[in-house]
Amino acid sequence: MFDQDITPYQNISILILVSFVSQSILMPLLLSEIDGPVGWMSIIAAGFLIYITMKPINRLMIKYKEDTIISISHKVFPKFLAKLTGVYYILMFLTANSILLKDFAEQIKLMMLFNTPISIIIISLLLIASYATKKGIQSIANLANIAVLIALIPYILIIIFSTYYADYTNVFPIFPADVKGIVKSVPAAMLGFFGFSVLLFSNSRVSIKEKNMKVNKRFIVISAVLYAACYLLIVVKFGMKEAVNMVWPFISVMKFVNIPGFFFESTEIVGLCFQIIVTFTSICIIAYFTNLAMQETFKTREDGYFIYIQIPILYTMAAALPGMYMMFPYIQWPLIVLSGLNFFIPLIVVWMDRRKQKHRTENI
Amino acid sequence: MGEKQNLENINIEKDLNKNEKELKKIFKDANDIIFRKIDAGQNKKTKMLLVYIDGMTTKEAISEFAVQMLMKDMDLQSLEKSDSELQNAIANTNIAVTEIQALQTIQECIDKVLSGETVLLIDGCSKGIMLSSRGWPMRGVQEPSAETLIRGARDGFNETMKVNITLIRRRIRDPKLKVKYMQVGSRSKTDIAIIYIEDIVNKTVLETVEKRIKNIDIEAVLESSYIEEMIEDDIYSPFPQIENTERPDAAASAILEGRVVITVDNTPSVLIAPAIFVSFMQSSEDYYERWMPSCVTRMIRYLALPIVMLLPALYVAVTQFHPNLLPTQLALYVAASRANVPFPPYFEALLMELVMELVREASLRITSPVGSTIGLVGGIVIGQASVAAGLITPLAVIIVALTAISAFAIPSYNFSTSLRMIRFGFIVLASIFGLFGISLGLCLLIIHLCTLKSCGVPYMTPLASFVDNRKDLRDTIIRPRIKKMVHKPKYLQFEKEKGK
Repeated sequence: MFDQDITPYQNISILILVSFVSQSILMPLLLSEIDGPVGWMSIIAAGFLIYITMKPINRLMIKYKEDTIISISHKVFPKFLAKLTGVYYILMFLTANSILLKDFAEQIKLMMLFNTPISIIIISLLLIASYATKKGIQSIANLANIAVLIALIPYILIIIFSTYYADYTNVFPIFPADVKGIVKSVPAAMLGFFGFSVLLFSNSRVSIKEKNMKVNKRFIVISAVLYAACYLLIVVKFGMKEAVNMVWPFISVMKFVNIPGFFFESTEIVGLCFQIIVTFTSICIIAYFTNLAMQETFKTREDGYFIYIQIPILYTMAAALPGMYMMFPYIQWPLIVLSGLNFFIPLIVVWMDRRKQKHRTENI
Repeated sequence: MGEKQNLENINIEKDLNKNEKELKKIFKDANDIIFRKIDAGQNKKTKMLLVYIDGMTTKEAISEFAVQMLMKDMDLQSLEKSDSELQNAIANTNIAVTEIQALQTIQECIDKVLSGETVLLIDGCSKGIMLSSRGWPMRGVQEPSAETLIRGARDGFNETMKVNITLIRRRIRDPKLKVKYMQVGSRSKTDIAIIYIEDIVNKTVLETVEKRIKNIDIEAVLESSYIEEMIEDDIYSPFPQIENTERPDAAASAILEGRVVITVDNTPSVLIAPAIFVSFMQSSEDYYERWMPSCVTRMIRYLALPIVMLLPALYVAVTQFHPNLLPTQLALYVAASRANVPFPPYFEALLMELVMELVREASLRITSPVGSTIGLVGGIVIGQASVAAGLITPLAVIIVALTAISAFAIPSYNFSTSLRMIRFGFIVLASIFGLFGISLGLCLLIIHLCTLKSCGVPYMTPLASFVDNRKDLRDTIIRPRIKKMVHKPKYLQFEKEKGK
């Protein structure tokens, strides 16, 4: 139990945290893509799509027990394709982490450290994340669980308290809904379930693999509820017109917290402190699984030192990339492609494995 | 080491003079070692030699009872056969000594003599006899001054290991309570006892503790802290990974949970392994007071934890970086009070914390009634004088005083020392990055705590696996009712879990 394994519920914490942070970043995109306050429908649709893939994916992962999606693809794909799958996941994780770093560092600079260069903030985040990543999955899983306890729960409570004096008529009209917009924004909503890509790796590290199916389904339900609830909270607080112009709506909404007896003037700074712990944990989680993807792709032994290769790459990418909100007009197609790949690669691996199995039984 | 191995190879000879010569050579210039020759037996033909240390033995037991009884009907022929024969021969006499043992080598004789036992060597017999005769001046069973309670037992461990074991045995009358003796220290040969309940203890933890103690290579063990440092998982961590207590009830409670207790001779502090984060926040009194007040007390203690670590750092961060966080009136007051202070907030906080640590250290070195007065008065006087001199703000004094008081709310002294040490790091981080620095520091601290293990058990259990160990969570921030108490925490049942 106490070697480098994680428990099923620690796995849930990991998946929820990563998804929550990706939802924070993608929320403005979701708000801006649909004409009307019906983004929660896209979230439910995206959640449902991912939910139905859980059974085949989990069956596959139980079959291969200790293997991640990359090591399974090495078994079912030709060598070149398997390598390509590995490279895809490495790049995807690196990009996600660098966007997260950049966006978050900008928020910190904007609200906390006006005179500090953004590079210093990124480097300090990266250095501490590298320490965590090197310690292995168990430390990160413990960190994720504690982050849920001391940061995510209070953070969500603050968001809920911020809806005081909200205009609940902002959620109307539900119909006539922008059906085209809902369909168009499903890929973006799917990316909000970033835990779906992470579980393809984290499931292999769970001590009781038989529980993975239940745990993964729970994660999708919890994550979808959280995602939809946060979306609705922002809509009722600001209304669609105002909400679409927000960079980090979760932090902006905290300016309006109204807790009886709460005496701090700038509640968004208090909220940001919780957000730092949550986001930092997510950075550690993604960095760890990037490490794992690297060692599985290049078939090296388990080595935490890959993080030292990641640091300059992440720093360069984070420095080079513009903020997420600046990229919105240009990333519609890349998002659809990325979301599609994330969704279909595991399903193709499942299909290939079944085909191979069938081929084997026919030969016998 | 070479000399020791030689002695281990030297067997006791039949010739008593040779044995005496050998022992006298080894104990040369040790004038407290007594060599007492006796002519005993029916015709005073049997020559014997008693060897013991003056001051470490109860002489009456040896001279008046043991020796005379021993030599009345001793059959020397039977002594040559085997150990069991020798022991039987002694046992058949009406010896008034409770513990006897046959000795084969000179090294065994030396070890026993140095442990306070009496060694009896008989002419014509190639074996020695150890007669239990330990007895030296010792401190009585008193209340431990560092862990006083309002309600609860008033007895505490003392420097004699056997007394400490007795105090535990009085609380757990279970035949499955096991006591394993070991010796550590090539010169000090300090006695150590590992105490546990056979069917509750986690075997992995027990094996780990035993293995680590066996691997200790040190000349002398003068205090249990030597053992603590040698067996803990991460020596460079600021956090203690082994608990220590002077209270028998706390030790007994740990044993009943399935943990391992290590008692060290000459030390009133016993060690408890594994130790986890939440165990340092628990006090024996929590379980002796009524349920609701205990819960409130413990919650207040958990409130003290962030105050000890973060309050001075928060003061620095808010005054230096985020004054907009404060209510307007307070922000104006802080700005006005800081107007005449020449130092930046971080220097002010560091200076006051340093002064506070100096006062605390000084009060420890002075006799207790005066020491506590000096600590109290010193703090107030220095604080007031500093404010009057315009060196610091009154708010800084309040912050530092509150931090110092909160540190006393943590039940474990060494744990609160760790927190006090970490506080300085947070002040530095807050002075560079403000609240962002504090958040980063917290992340770093949590990672470190999540990485830490105590004898293989994660330090942050059950918080770091709060769903899996939800039953254990009952006894963290609040304490459960006695009826609902989990005596065997799940985090110590991991082997059984695996086997399931």
